[in-house]
Amino acid sequence: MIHLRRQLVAIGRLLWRNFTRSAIGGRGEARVGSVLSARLLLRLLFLALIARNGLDLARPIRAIADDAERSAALGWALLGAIAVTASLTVGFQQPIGAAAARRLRPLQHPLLAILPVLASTRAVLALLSSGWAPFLFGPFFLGAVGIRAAASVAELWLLGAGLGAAAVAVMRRFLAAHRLAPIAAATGVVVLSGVLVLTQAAWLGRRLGAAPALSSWARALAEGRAPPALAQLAALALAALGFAAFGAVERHGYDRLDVQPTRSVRTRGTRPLDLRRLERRLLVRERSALVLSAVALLIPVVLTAVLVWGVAYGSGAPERVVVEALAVTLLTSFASFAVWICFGQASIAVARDVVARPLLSSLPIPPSATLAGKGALLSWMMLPLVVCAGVMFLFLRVDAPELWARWLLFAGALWLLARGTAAIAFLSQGLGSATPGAGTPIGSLDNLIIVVPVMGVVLAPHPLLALPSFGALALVSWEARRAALRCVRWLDDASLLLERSTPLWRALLGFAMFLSAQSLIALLLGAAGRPSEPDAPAASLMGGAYLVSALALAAYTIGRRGELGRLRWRPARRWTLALGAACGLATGALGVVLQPAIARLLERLGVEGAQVAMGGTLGALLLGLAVLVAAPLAEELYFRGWLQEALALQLGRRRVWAPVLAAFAFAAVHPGPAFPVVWLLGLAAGALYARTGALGPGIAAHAAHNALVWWASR
Amino acid sequence: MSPAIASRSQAERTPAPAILRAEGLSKRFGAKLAVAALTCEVRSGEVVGLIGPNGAGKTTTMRLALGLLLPSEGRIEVLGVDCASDSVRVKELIGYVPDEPAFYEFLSGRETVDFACEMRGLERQAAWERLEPFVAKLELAPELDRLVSGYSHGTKKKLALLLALVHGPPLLLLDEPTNGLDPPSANLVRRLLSELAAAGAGILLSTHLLDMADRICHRLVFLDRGRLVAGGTPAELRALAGLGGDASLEDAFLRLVARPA
Repeated sequence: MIHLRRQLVAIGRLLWRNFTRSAIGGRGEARVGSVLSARLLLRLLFLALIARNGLDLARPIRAIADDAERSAALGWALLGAIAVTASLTVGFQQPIGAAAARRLRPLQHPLLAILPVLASTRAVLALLSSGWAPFLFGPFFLGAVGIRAAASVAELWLLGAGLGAAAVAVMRRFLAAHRLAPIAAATGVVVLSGVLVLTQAAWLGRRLGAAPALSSWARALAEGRAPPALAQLAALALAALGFAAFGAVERHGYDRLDVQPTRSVRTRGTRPLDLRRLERRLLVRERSALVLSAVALLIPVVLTAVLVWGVAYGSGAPERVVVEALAVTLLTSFASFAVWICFGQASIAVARDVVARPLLSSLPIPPSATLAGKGALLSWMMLPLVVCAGVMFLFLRVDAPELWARWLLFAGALWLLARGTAAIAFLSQGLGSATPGAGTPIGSLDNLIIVVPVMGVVLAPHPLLALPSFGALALVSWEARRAALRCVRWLDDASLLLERSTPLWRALLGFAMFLSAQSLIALLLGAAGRPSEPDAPAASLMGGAYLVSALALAAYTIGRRGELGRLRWRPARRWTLALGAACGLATGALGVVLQPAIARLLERLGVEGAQVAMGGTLGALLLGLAVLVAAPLAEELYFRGWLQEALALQLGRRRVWAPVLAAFAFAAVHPGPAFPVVWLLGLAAGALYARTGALGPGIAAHAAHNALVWWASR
Repeated sequence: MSPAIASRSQAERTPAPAILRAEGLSKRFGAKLAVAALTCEVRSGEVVGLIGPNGAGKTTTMRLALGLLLPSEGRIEVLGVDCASDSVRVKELIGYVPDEPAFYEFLSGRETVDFACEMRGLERQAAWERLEPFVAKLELAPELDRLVSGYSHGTKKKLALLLALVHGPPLLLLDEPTNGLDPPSANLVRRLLSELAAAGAGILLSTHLLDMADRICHRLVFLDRGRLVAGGTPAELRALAGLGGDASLEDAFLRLVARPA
């Protein structure tokens, strides 16, 4: 006899195992029992970021003084939240991409089709398919109307997911599988519009008044009453109907999914079908992939058109300050679109290769050609974004050369992103790697390595300050390609022990883990206590987050360096410690001397220095500990003990360049203005490490440098 | 006399109750007719082979039996349960080995079996006790605690068979059960199937290995483009094709499923 409760518990455990274990890296590392991993950390960070965004979005609504306007704004927020939940429920149910992708999604896995899953269990699965929606609008409503909204939020979540489930049921019943794919891709538009409505709810409420539906519900929430019983009952009944329909249809849900229509296609042209054209043709034939990219590219085009129209027919050209802010915002949002398109398309393309492996492995295709075909396709897809941004700049009458320099950097960064992502997809989603599924393709540690420098380029306060990030991006893209060229061999050789990445790539993964740990902890600390000054990050927050993540970086480095030999702390010749300290003092002094000059230069470039609110003794203590103890230890351990070693191993006879590159990476992650001095410090520490083979002198240099700069700044 | 032959003659003497029964079963995918008015049955203790060229409708028939597909016409039932209307109940009665088995890559083999036990509402302890002899026979013990993502194709196939036996089902549906297995493993599986049939299970298997079908199937169903071309014991089919008792089943198949060139 089958019990609903047992099935649900089993599925819950399955989801938890998926969440933790599918975060384990390549095949060789896969072990039962390893729960805590860097990738898991990243997933938690993703959810925490969404929750934090929800809280942030609530602020403008709470700030509305007028009761009528506030309830109107809440009404729009409700509408947005329900649209997001319903469309996510539909989106996660649909066969996007290759059939192989379905195996990566625990709730749509083919194994569930042949087990006796109860209709009620299936209904719960539909509810769980709304993905990250509750993490966004739960905190949003809690922030906007407080804890009394909790029951209402749950009801609305049920309603949204129920509507989505009903939509899936209707589509499965009446549409053939090949018509579902475009609809699934189109749900992306609804998700984005829902998020847009949710984020702009305050503005919508003020401008347009109450949302057509749900206004009585919103009014009750705004006034602190329970929503009308009749409306609650209706919402729950609708949800129940939706889930029931889903459960009933889903029993035979795979009826239509497995059937693809046999289309006959006419081959046009006589040009040979090389790998580049093959990628393009497959993209066009696979409708869901095509619609996905079309939608993603259409949004920037529409945005451009709206903006151009607004400028042409609005109140003349906007002010210069507005133009600059607008230009940077545009580039940032376009870069986010680029990241979304690249990761989505690259993972679909690699999934395709996994399926076609028997064919590919029998053909004499060099790995570089396999990569080049995908890289070229992605680069082509970046072109509309670059052109759109250029058109916008023209219409905004951008005349500042630094904005055009930004545009050039943006174009270059997108090109590097396209090339790098194709390689990363092979590294993280190739054969046998049980990577994501339980979230977004962006939520992978490998992807984070390349997203950070891309965002560094577009968000830099000045194009000159974007150069270090650009350099880091080029290095990451180059190394991703190198590592992937080794790894693409799985197309020929599926053996278990195939080394999937280079030591250098693993070192870079370690750093991505450090970054995600730092942001996650800052988010958690930020949610626990409120910074005293809203504009400046509190010292205690920064110090605490840094201390914990530095500990994690040190532990990770010691645990994962693996094949790079033993770490030595103390140098054979003790006087090198003193030499290190002297080097550190020298670079520190240089930094202190150059500080006013750098500040002046930045002022001339129009960049404001970042301020940190010290906030009492605890903050000073924590920040001091972080700067004087944790940073020298953890960063030297990582940048010299791991990254430089991995670089040296890889460069072979040209290993003399290893300290230079490691120092560049070290400087690139430090705030822009300090870049040249920190590079010098890195060079000194790197050279000392290369000569002595011990970390001590580098740590001494780093600590001395930090101490001097810290003392001068107080 | 080998056990397989013993049970074969037994099955011929007293017709056992039918476990699976299809009547006028049809399935249409758009304009394509995948299964056309198929009528057949599988009785207890009997191994029935679905034989046919690629695209003959073998897998579709099995998916109809599981309730994964809805028939366009006709009816298919397992022990009186209509497969189309109660797919949950039907899946409790069937152990299914798909042609390309799929598992959660991040579960170990043991955890996968545990998961199936929970989903089927079985006592885990008792299920493992029942599975123990099969684990030994399939030589799966050293593999069970590794993640499925590292399994070879053959090991995945064996795990799928183990998973199909978790609940001791009266009917086994096996899609190309020896596909991807090395000869010794294929031999193991063949022996296992004969033993299961002797113990009273009904087995419907699809294959294109006519030699294997000849050795373990009591009855064969020849399919072509969804239609039943011929059915009966291997001897009857040889006679139907006008061949002698020592002719190969392949010749009989080629004669009966003759396609215009």
